[in-house]
Amino acid sequence: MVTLVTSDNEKFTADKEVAERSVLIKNMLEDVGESDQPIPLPNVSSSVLKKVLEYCEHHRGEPLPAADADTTQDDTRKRTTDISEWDQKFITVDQEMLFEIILAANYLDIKSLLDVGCKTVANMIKGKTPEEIRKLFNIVNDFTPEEEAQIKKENEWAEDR
Amino acid sequence: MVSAENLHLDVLELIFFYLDGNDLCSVALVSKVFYASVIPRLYHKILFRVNHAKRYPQLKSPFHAILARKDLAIHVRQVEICSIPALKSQHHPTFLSECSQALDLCSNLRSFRCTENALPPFLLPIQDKERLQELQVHANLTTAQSEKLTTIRGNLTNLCLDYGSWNIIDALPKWIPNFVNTLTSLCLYAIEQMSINLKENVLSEVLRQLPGLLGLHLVGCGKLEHAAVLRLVSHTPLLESLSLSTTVSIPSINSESASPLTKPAPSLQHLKHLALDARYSMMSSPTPQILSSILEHIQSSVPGLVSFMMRLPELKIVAAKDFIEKLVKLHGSTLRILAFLDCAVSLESISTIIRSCTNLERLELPIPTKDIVRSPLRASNLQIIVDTDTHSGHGHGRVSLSQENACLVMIRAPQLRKIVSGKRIWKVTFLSQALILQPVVTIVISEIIPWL
Repeated sequence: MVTLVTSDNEKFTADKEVAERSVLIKNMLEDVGESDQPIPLPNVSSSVLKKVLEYCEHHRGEPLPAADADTTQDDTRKRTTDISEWDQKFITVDQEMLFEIILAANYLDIKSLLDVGCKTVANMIKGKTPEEIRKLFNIVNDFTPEEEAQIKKENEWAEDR
Repeated sequence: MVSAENLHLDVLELIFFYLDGNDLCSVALVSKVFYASVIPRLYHKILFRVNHAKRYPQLKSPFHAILARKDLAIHVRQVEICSIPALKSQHHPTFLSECSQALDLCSNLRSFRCTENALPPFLLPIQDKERLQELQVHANLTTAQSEKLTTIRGNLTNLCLDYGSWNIIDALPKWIPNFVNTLTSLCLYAIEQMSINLKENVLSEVLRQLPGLLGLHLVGCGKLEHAAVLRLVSHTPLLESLSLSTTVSIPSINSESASPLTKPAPSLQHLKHLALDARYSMMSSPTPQILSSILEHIQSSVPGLVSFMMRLPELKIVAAKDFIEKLVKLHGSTLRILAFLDCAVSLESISTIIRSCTNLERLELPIPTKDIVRSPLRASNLQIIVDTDTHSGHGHGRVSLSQENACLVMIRAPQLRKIVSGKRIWKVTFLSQALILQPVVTIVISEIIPWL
């Protein structure tokens, strides 16, 4: 068993196999060696870690993606935004939690969870106008009208016709 | 509070990698942070198509944008030029010049495709790209141009030459050895110089140096006979995918191919994907026998095909019942993808396929739009049906698949996830959830067979 301590000082215990789905934790355990020392995770709150561990528990035993992340990045052909049914239910959370999970997955280096989070946000963006995207995420438009026109012209080639 | 804007830039980049087209353009206009994060994705792949070429130069080309902002060039990994703008029925000189200048800056280029007969101006800028892995070009080149193309080094994994001239074919034996350790797929398509045959000995020399080749596609190569191709593959025992054209060199009343298949059959223990193209045979009637003879020939050395594709000369021709029976008898239990292009498939054959191919996941065929509801498509693993008849609405008198029929098919075959017909796609949606989800088969025929 591994003990994890969150930013709000809560302790969680998890099977080594489950916790090690996080490459960060796996590397830390390897560095420390056999030890009962709790692992501090100062960037993750207890509510988020609870979700992350739920995910890792569900996917325990599944093969981990290859460490070579850059090649999968390049392979745009295989990029689909399909998400399995369980993952989809899991990630149906409010927007703040969604972003917290993405940040935690990025920090803890859990690639499959990061993918699920990113796909979910991508699906939210699909088909929306810039203004709708700003509204969705509460973002302020910081372009001048001239800058906007310039960017529109520069990227016109990328529009579907 | 965490919000979209204070996600790290690299996380935003990851998110945007799941978007394309208009969505990327919308994202770029949201805010400065979003714009900065979407740039790597926007310029990752540059696809220049006919709709771009037609609107040029009113529509600025992506190459123009790169020349104006040179820092964009490092993001470019793939360039695909499918169309060249015209000026007075010539290739537009400004476009050629901005395109080749921009290519020169793209130091991270991984994949370059130029399917138009306009390669020469790009021969220089695509030299010295250390990361170049995929090259597909229209290779109708002179001797001097061939020499330039064959000075390309890098670590090519995929090479595809369309409409190659004899000059480039002759240069292959000297060029290919540079990629002995990296090349996994070689495709020669439509090497159709009428008087010059693609010589078997040239290819033999090339393939002898590529014992690790995984994909070989020799389609429409002059008079290179399928019997010759099946001899050639004895050099490449690790092949996983193979495409070849069937040929009849001498019209023969015996219905057998004029040049017999040479024994022993090549050992193809790893072959999973086979594509047979019968478009180039002059006679259509012996085709089923020829296709069958190829299957028989490799029968003992190929354990079980995962995908099979065939193309006949004309839609009117029905894929022979006997041939389909033979195919499913030999490979029915392993086949996951079946595709029939430019040939009809009878309802009887469809039921044979459904009955015997229990692992079939994807079926591509000209959908018999009226009779489809009578087809027994209820099969445990069949998830996707793709219509390969794209002629509807072009005065061929063909009725396109109706919404009603598509629904009926889906209801009768509840395991189906997707029907694709022309530009229309029907997908199964789970009503309880907002998104259309369910992992579907990710292998697409064109990924296995580059010449499609």
